[in-house]
Amino acid sequence: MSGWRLPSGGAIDRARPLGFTFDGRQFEGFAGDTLASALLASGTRILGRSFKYHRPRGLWGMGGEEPNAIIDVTDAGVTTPNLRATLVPLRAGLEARSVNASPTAERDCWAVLDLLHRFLPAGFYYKTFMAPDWMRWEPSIRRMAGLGRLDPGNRPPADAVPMNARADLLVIGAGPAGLAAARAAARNGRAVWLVEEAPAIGGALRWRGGAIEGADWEAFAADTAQTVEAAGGRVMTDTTLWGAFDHGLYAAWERRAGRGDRHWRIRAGEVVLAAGALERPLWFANNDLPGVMSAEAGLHYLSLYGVAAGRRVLVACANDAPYAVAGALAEAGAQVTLADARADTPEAPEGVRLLRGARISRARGTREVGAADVDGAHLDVDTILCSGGWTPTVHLFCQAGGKLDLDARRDALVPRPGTAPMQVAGAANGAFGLQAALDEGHRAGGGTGPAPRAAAAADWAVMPMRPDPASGGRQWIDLQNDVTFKDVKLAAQEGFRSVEHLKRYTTLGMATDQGRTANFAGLAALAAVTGRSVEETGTTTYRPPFAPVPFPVIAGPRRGELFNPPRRLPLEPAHRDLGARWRDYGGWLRPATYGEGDEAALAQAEALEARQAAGLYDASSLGKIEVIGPGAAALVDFCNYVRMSTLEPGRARYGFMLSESGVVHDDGVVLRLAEDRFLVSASSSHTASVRLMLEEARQDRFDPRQVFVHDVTAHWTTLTVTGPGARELILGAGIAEEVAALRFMRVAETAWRGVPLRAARVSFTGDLSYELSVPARHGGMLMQALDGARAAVGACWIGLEALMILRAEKGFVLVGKDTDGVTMPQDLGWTGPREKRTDEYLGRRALFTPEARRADRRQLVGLEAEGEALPVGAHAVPLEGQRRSLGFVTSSHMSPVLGRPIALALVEAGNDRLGQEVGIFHLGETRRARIVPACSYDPEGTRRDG
Amino acid sequence: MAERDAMDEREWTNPTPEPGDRIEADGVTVTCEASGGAALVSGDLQAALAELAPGAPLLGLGAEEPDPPAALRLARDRALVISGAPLELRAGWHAGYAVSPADDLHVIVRLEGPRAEEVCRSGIATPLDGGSPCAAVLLAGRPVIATRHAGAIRLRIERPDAAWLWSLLGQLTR
Amino acid sequence: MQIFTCPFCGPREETEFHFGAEAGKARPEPAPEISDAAWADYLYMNEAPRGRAREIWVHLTCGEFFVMERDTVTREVLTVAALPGREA
Repeated sequence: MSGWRLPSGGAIDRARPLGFTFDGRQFEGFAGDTLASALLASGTRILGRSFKYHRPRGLWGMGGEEPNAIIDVTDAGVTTPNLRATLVPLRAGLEARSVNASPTAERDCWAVLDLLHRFLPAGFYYKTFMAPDWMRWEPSIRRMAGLGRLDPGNRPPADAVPMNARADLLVIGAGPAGLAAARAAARNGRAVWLVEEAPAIGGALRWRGGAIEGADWEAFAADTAQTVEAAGGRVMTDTTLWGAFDHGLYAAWERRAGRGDRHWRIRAGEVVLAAGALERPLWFANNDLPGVMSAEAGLHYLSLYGVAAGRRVLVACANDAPYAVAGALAEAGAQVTLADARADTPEAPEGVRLLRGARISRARGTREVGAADVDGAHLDVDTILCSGGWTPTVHLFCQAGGKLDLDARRDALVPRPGTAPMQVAGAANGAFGLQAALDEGHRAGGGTGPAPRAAAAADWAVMPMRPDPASGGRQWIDLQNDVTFKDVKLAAQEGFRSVEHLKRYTTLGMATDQGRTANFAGLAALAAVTGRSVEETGTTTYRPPFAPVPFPVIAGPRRGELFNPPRRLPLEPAHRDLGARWRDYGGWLRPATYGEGDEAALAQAEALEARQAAGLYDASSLGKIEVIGPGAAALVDFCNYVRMSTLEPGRARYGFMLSESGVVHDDGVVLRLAEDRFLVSASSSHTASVRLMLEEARQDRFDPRQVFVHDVTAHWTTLTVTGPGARELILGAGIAEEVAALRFMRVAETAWRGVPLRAARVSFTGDLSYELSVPARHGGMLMQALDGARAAVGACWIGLEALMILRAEKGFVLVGKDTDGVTMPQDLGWTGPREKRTDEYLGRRALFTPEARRADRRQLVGLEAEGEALPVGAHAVPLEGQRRSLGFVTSSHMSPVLGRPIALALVEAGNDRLGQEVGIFHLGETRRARIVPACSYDPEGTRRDG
Repeated sequence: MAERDAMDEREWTNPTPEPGDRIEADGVTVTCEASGGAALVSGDLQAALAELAPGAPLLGLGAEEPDPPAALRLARDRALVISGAPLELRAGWHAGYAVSPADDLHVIVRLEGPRAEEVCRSGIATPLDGGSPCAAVLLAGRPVIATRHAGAIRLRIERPDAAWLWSLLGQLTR
Repeated sequence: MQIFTCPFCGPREETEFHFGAEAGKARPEPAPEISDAAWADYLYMNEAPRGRAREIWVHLTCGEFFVMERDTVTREVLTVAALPGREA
C-alpha cells in the first residue's frame, strides 16, 4: 500500500468522486481519472497475476505499453476483457476484475506455480506438447495460463462507423514534434490531420510541462490546433493510428464517449510520424515486483492525476529524463533517492539524494517492493521508478517497410531515412528532449525559418543499460509473457539464435502489449549471448495492428443481415405472404418451402404435387446475360462447349461453360432471340463470373466493337410453371395461346396485359415447363395472375427443396454440387462437342490431355438403394477387396413420385459399372447401392410436352 | 435492431425499399425514388445518344444529373441511358450499338442533407468529385452508380442488393 | 489497400480489381497441334517475377481488361494501358 493522492493538483475533478470496484472491493476515484490512476491512488498494488508463473504484478506504465495491468472491465452491462487499466477512463459503477487470477489477484491459488519455475523453462509449451500424452495436461495448463474471460452473453452493439477520408498531410502523434510539424504545415496552407491516441494533445508536455516561445506550452498547443483547423485540417484525439498499409492508407480507431466509435481509412498524401518513445525498464533481480514502475509514468500520474507512486522512492536510471521525475516527487513530499549508473551526471534535483555510478541489483519483497539493493547497500524503499533508456515508437514506420539503424549515442534503433514513405520526427526518430523534438517536427512539417524555441534546451544524454549476466536472480525481460533473461540465454543455447525464432520459442513480445517494453532488451540480450551486434541480431517484423483494436470496430456495421448478405428477390414480400420459409441458395435468399411443418415433409408434398398437377417457382435469380452484335454468335460459340451459332432465332439449347482447364464452370440454356442477340442463362451463383468470362474473350479475342455483353438479371422477374397442368395454368392466367403452344426449347418475346413478356419452353424438372419473364415492376401482376389460376389445376408453389428433388430425379446437375474442381463435360455424358467440334472454344485443348483421357475418370451416375436416402458426401467403395474410395454421393433425396431414394454420384469409370453394386460407406457403416443411369425418372422424356 | 443482428438469414425480413420510403436521420434524409425508364447501351455511345436520347449528356462519377434524358457512363463503351418514363426501344443490335431494356434493373436511393456526403463516404472510398468518367463505383464492396442531383447524392443499386443498401444506410445514418 | 488506375475510369481502390493473367501469353492453338506440354505450360507456368511484373488485370466495376506494370516488391504501379485497339 504505497501510492497516495496528493491533497491538490492534477487534471481531475475532485468535486466529482466516482465509485468503482476492483476484484469485488469498493474504491473511489475522481472524474478525469483512469482506472490505473484511481487504483494507484488507492494504494492497491497487485493488479494481476503473470501469465505463466502467476507472480503478483502491479502497474508499470501509463499508456498502451502497459504489460501488467490487464483488466476485465464491466461498464454499463458490457464486459470487455483484457483492457489496459492505463487506457480505461474511470466511470461511476465500473466493475474491474483482474485476469489470470483465481479468485483474485490479491489471493491467487495458482501462485504456487512460481515455486516451480525451474520446471517451466523457455519453450515450456513446445517441450510439453511434444511429449506423448500431452493431451492429459492440456486442459489444466489452459486453465492456469491465460488472460481475461470472454462473456459469452455479451454482444457489443454494431455501432462503429466506417469512414473513408483523404488527408494532404497526416501527422501521427500530437506531442511537441507532432505539434510543431502540424503547425508549420498548416501555416503553409496545407490541410493537416493531426491524430493523437491520448484524450488530449501535448504528449509528454502534458505531464512534463514546459515553456515554448516564451509562454506556457498550452498556448503553443492551442495555437497549433487553431492553425490546423483554420487551414482546413482536423485535430483528432482519442484516436489510435493502428496500421500503415499500401499506397498511403492508414487505419485509425477513434473512440467517442457515448456514441459509436469511428474506424477511419485515411489515404494520406504525406505522413509525419511523431509517435514519441517508450521508456525501457531496468534489469535486476525481481524487477517485476509490484511497486517497480516506469519513472516517466511516475511523473505522469503525479502531474495529471495528483497521485504519487510511493512515499520512499528509489529512482534508478542511466539517463537525464528521470531527474525531473525525482525532483517533482520530492517536491510533492516523497523521500526520493536517485541512483544513476553514470559517474558523470547532472546536478541532483532539490531535495533528492543522488547516488552517482550506482546500480540497482535487486528488488526485495515477496508480494511488493519493500527494499532495494543498490551497489550492495540495502535501501529501505517502497517504490522503484526505473528508466533503462528510450525506445522510439517506430512501429508504423516499419509496417510501411522502413528499416532501422542503431544510434549508439542514444542506444536506440532509429528509422533509416528514405526506407519508408514517411518522415519521422522527435523522440520516434531518436531525438530525445523538447528542443530536439520541436526542431525536427518543424522541419518535417515543411517549416521555414526558426523552429519554436523551448525554455529548457538540452537533449537527454543516455547511457546504454543491459540485463546483468552475472546476476543471480530472475531478471524479467517480457513482463506480460513471463520471459526472463535466463529464458533468452537458454533459447540461444538450444539454437534459437534468430530473433524470430527467439520470439516464437520463448513467446517474448507475443503478448497483447506486443513487447513494447521488452523487445529491445530481448534482442540486446540475444545479441550479447550470441556475440553479435544489435544490428546483426535485427528486429522481429512489425505488423498491424499497432495496438489491440476491438473486433466490433473493425467489423463496423457488417453484422447480421449486413454481413455478406444474399441477394433478394423483388417478389420476396409476396412469397412471404404465401408462407415461404427462406434460405440462402447460391447467394440468393429464396423460398425453401411454403407453409408450416417439417421442411422435408413439405418438400416431399410440393414435389409430388408438381409432378401430379403443376408447381410454380420463382426463378428470377437465374442469370440473364445478353450478348448482342454481329459478333455475338462467334463469342457465344467460343465461350460455350456446345455450339450455339447453329441455333435458329427463337430457339434454345443447353450447354456448358468451361474454364481453360476444361473443367465445367457453369451450365445453362442459351436462347437465341435474334440473329445477333443471344440470352445466356447462368446459374444464380455464377452470373458474375460468366459475365466476366464473356467480357474477357470479347476484349481479348474478338473485335470488341462488334459484340457487347449486358447483365440484365435484375431487370427481370422470372416465374416458372412446371408439370402436366402447366399449359392449362398459364392459359388460365390469361397468357396467349401462342405462348402455350410453344414447342420444347423455343422462346418467344411477346406481350401480356400490355407489358413485355418473354416465355421459354425450357425445363429443369423434365416436365412441361414455361419460364415466364416480365420486367420486375410487373412481377407482382404476373404472380397474382398465376396464383389465381393455380387452384383450377391443383397446382402449388414449390420451394427450392422440392425443385432440388425434381431435378435430381431427372439427373440434371447443379454445377459445384454434382461436379467438382476436376469434372469435365464428358464426365457428365456430354461427349459430342469434344469429339466433333473442330473450331476453338474455351477449355478445348484441356479435354484431350492424358488426364482428360483416363478411363477411370469419375463420371456422373445415379444410385439406387433401399430404405432411407443415402448420405450426401458418403463414399462409394468396392464390396469386396481392399476398401478405397471410388467416388462419392453428390445429391440424395427421397423421391416422392418413385417412392424410393434416389441419388447422384461421381464414381470412377461409373458408366462401365452400370448395374453393379457398390458399398456406400458413411460413419463406419456400409450400405449397398446399385449404379444406375443418372436419370431415374421418365428416361424416355415422355412428360416433356405435358 | 434485434432482427438486424440475426446471423440466420431465415429470419431476415428487411425489405427492398419502395418509391417514397424514407429514412429520416440527424442531418440526412434517405429517400427511395421512383425510377422512370432506363436502358443499357453499349458500343458507339455518341451515335446511340444521338438517336435514342438527343442532347443527353454522358455523365461520370459524382456528376450532376440534369432532368432526363441523361446517360450514366458505366464503362468505356457502356452506359445506362435514363429517361422520365419506360423507354420504348427496340432491344438488340442497332448498327453500331447494342440496347437492352433495363427499366427495373436499379433501385434509386437519394441522400440529402448536410451529412449526406459523410454518410456516402462511409461506404465509398473513391472521391465523388475526382472526375472519374465512370459513374459506377463500389460502396462497401457492392457496385452502385453514384451521381448528384439538385444538391443530393443519388445512388443506383441493382434491385437484388437494394434491401442490403437500405439497411446499411439505416445503420450509417444513426 | 492499393490504388490501381483503370485506363478508362482512373484511380480506384484495389478491391474493384481482379488479377487476370501474366501479360504476353498467347493462347496456343489450334488445339490438335498443341502438345500436352505446351498447353500445360500455357495454363500453369508463370514467371511470378520478384520486382517488375507485366500483368493483365480487370476492373470489375466497368469490366475493362487492361495491362498493368507494377513492382511486386515495392507495390509501385509503374504503368497502365488499355488493351491494343481499346484506347479510343
